[in-house]
Amino acid sequence: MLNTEALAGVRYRENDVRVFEELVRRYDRKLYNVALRLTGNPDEAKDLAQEALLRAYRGFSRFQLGTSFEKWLFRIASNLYIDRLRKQRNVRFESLDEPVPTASGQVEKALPDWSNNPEDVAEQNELADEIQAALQSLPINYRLAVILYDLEGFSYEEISGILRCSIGTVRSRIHRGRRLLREKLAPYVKPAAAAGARW
Amino acid sequence: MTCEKAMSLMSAYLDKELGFDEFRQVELHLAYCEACSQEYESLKATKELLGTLRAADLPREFWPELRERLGAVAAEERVAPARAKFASSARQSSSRQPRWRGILRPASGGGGGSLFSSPMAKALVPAFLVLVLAALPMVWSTRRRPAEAQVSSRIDSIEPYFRDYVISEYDRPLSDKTSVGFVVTGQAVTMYTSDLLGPSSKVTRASGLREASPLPPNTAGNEYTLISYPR
Repeated sequence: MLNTEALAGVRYRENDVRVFEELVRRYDRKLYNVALRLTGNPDEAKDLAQEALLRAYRGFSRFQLGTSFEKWLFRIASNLYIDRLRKQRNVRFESLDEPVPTASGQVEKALPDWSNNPEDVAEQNELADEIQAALQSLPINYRLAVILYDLEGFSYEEISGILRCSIGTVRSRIHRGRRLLREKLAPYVKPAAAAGARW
Repeated sequence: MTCEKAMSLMSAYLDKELGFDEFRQVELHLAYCEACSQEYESLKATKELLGTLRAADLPREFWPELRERLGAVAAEERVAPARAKFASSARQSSSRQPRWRGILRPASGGGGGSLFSSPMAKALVPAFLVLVLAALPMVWSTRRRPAEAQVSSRIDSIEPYFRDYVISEYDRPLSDKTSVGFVVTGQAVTMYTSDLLGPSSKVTRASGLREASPLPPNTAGNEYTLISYPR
């Protein structure tokens, strides 16, 4: 467990940034991956994770010593992402797949291809992309719960602390999220034939 | 347990996040319900599919960039408290200053100065203070005179009583023939006693007592008052 007392002691010292970095290094990759699964975009994920750490650094005086720093940090990241989503609601998104209507009919968009070997990359990442797309389609509350449990390994109790909701709510969100994912990923979901294979 | 209930608990059952009783009930239900078993298997497959996602590595520039942003925040926070502290102390010191400091303080701007900012005023202030100090004793003595007059008149009013009392004591046969008296004048207090009276001494009712030491002549401007009482 993170030594939050030590973290408290680093504030306003000369080397506090260095010590802060040492202390939160253990969460950076996990935080980035949650951000990546939430946003589906590496640049946005990097910015989200960095901003969450900055907010943790700035607002450390509000952190209650003795409680879980990890939960607090992921709560900051979750709230930050939800805030960004709310702000983005007013922004119009343009689909890259939709054809562009012209006077002579519809024309497919020509997108630049930056990969060296698109076919290989597409094959390797097809499933991951499909899963990511399915995750992106989930309502934010379901998405958060599923990502935190199935991808990052938090317990129901920890998730209830991060999202500030009851364990019953966490249970419900994970269940509904999985059911929606099952529908989205139906071609890839291959349940075992024998029900007796449980556990 | 109904299928509806079992379905709602299926993910928690899959994650082993149920209490013992609920876990056992779902387990028993799955043992004989084919539909719920299929639900369970499909959810389990979905969960396993999610598990195939590989964790991404942190971008190389993540920490260099963040370090820079953290450094900027830290610098800002180091300056901000000091600035706030300075502003706070400045406010406190100005609020602690007595009001007269505002009057004596020279004007910083070219506009309206304070009361004592001109050179002439600076010369006049010490002169005025010297004048006040010189006049103080005169004012003091003037103010004290009425008080002394009041004391003297008060003594004058009771003096006949003491004088008569001492004389009457002297005349009484069983009296110890001892009395004491004070003469209070404007300058001094003098004590008199009847012990000093010898057997041959004559005491007239008019004077009451013989003085132990010669009194100053009772002339105008040098009044005295005799006060006496038995010892």
